[in-house]
Amino acid sequence: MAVDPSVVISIAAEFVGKPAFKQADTATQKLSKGVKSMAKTLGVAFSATAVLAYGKAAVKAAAEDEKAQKQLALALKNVGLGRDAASSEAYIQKLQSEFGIVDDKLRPAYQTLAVATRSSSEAQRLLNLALDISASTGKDLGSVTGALSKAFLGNNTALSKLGIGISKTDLKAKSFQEVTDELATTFAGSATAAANTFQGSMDKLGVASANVQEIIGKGIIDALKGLSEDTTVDNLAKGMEDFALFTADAIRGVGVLLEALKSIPAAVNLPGLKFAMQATGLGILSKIGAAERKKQEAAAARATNGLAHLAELESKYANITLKATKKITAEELKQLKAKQLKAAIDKANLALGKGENVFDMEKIQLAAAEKNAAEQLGKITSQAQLLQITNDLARLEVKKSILALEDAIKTNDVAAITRATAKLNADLGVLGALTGQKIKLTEIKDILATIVPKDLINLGNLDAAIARLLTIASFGSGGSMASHGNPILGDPNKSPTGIPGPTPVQFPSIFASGGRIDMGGNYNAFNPAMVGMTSAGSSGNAGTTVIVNAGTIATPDELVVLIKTAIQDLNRAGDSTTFAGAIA
Amino acid sequence: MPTEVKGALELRKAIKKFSPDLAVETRKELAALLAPIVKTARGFIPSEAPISGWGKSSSTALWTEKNRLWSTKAAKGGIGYKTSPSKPNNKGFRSLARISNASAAGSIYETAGRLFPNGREQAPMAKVVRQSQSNYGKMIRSGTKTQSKSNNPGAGNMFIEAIDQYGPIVDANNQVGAGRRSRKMKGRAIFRAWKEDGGKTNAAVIKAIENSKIKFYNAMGVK
Repeated sequence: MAVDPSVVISIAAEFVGKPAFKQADTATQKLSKGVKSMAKTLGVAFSATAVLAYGKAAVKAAAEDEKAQKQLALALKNVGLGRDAASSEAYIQKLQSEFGIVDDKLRPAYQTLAVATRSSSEAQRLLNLALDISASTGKDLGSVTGALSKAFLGNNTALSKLGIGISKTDLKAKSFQEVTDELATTFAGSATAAANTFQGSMDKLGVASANVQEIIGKGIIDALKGLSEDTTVDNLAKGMEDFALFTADAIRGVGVLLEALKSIPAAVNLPGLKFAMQATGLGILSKIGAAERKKQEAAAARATNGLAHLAELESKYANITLKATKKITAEELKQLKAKQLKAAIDKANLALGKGENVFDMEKIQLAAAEKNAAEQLGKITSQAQLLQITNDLARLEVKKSILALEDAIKTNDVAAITRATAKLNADLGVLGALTGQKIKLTEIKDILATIVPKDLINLGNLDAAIARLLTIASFGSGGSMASHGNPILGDPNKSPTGIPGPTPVQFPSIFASGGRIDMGGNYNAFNPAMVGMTSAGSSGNAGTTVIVNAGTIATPDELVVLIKTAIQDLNRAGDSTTFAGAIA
Repeated sequence: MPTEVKGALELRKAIKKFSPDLAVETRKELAALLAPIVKTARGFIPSEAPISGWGKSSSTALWTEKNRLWSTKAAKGGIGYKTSPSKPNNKGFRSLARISNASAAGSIYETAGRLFPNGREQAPMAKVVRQSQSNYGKMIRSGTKTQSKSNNPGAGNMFIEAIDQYGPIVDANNQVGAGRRSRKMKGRAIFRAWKEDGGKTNAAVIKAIENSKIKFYNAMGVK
């Protein structure tokens, strides 16, 4: 919750200074530091300790500078910009002197951008832009270059957080090039303007001081290396101390010399002083040192040129290697594509095989027929239906066995052919037995169990059906009325009490001969004209032949149906000769 | 290596860095000193809206902004303390501890009439001449922020008088000598409590910081 400062009681408040005061203080401190460095560089503070301390710092600065140069060169080389190392270093030195920013800051910034962009020209363009933004906004150069490098790679978050007038919408809608062009327009000339201020001038002096320090440090290192031919740190430090003492003594000597020169009026002016200095041992040493420096610079230039040439050669070699690698990669890609194609074809074949199975009509029809037979099995009502369904299933099994044998023959697998043949023979045996109708009902159950899919058989229902069939079979094969328990009307050999006519034992023979019993219980002989039949011979026990005039030739089953229908109609409604229910 | 501390803020930073236990102890000590002030200040907050319309959220309410509606709970809850150093204000000062009245309703109750004890003068009527304005061509009250936009010329005065019924504005500034006194130490809740405390808590806070400094120096072996 934001708190209105007017409703706050501040306790134990402390003045910490306003931002403007701080800036002024920082600027003053920097100025003081820069002047001190310059003073040290110019040799105003000539005490032995100061010289020694400065020498150490100079050596350290030179070493760090060299390390930073090497790091940048390595980073550039790693991203394929090795040939630009020398030009990049020159560019950094130019920026350093132009804008008063030390190379220790410029190198990491340039490295970040070069690694991100992998292009020297783009890195330099972005570094110029970063310098402008940094000078204008006060953000440190590292933050700005970091944000720009991230934005170059597609991450605009850091750039939007810099608060440099680019909205999130712009960042989303515009390309990186457009955004940077806009920023370049917005912040154009900021770095140059900043460099031309007093602070900028002091920064330039600071940079010059740092450079002087590095140059002197490099000179010390070279001189000591040359003197001692030993590169260990301890020896170097000892050498530095000796050198510092020697230098201090020499400078003291210069002081004495200057005092002496002051007594000579003509030598007070600087040219005279320079002439006098050149005439001393120090001047001679300076000449020797200058000659050595020039020699080393020439060697360094040669080395730089050589390195540049080497970098160029390396670049060419890298290009050739890259091309060869690409070629190899292309071959590998071709092989990989062929492998992928083969795998795809294999998969397709597999899928096609599955499709063939799916669309194998024979198998589909067999499966449908089996399913249908299994369903019918649950609906059977007679032994004939059971036998018929069993026959159908056995035929289907034979068909399956034939197909299996054909497949086995195609595969040339002897064992599979043998198995399929044995299976076919067994199925044919079952079918033959069923066709001959010599099989027992219990065996039918076993056959069904082998040929009907298990999941389609309701064994409970099957058992019940078989039991019922057995009952029916036993009922129709010679049982007598007496064997079914007590008769309804008492003694079957006697006529029911009070009813005249034949006894119940006589009824089957009467019905078999087509006779009828009237309401009074009297027996009437069969009259074919009454039921639409013509007597054409014997029938049943009487040895007569019954000819049914149905107007067409019927099958035995149709004939049975017709007779049943006629009897049922007669039973229900009666006719002109008998009453309803007379033959119940 | 001897540790040298400059200023109270540096002391707090150093304590936090090198002696976290002492930092917690100092913070607790300051909290114990400031809590009674906060409790007293909360007691000065009315248990009902000082003006009946202030707590209503209808269109005829005193303010349409929801956060400005009177809520005793929010007004009391907005009064609190902090023992962490603040950011520098525009004068370059940072406080080591502070008591604040943060809620909108509580702030209004705290400060109403502090600048204009009799309410602001009424702003004059003026015609809207800018065509882009929605009320272009109409007469409205137009003035600076020191002028009231209400059509009731006595609105501000009535509001302040109503609030004064619950508690008067108290000047907690105990500064003596020449110079203008800041009105920003005047109020009805926290400033009244601070005034009633009579500077005892302020002295105790500074003493506590001094004590923490001594303890820290002792812990670091500084003499």
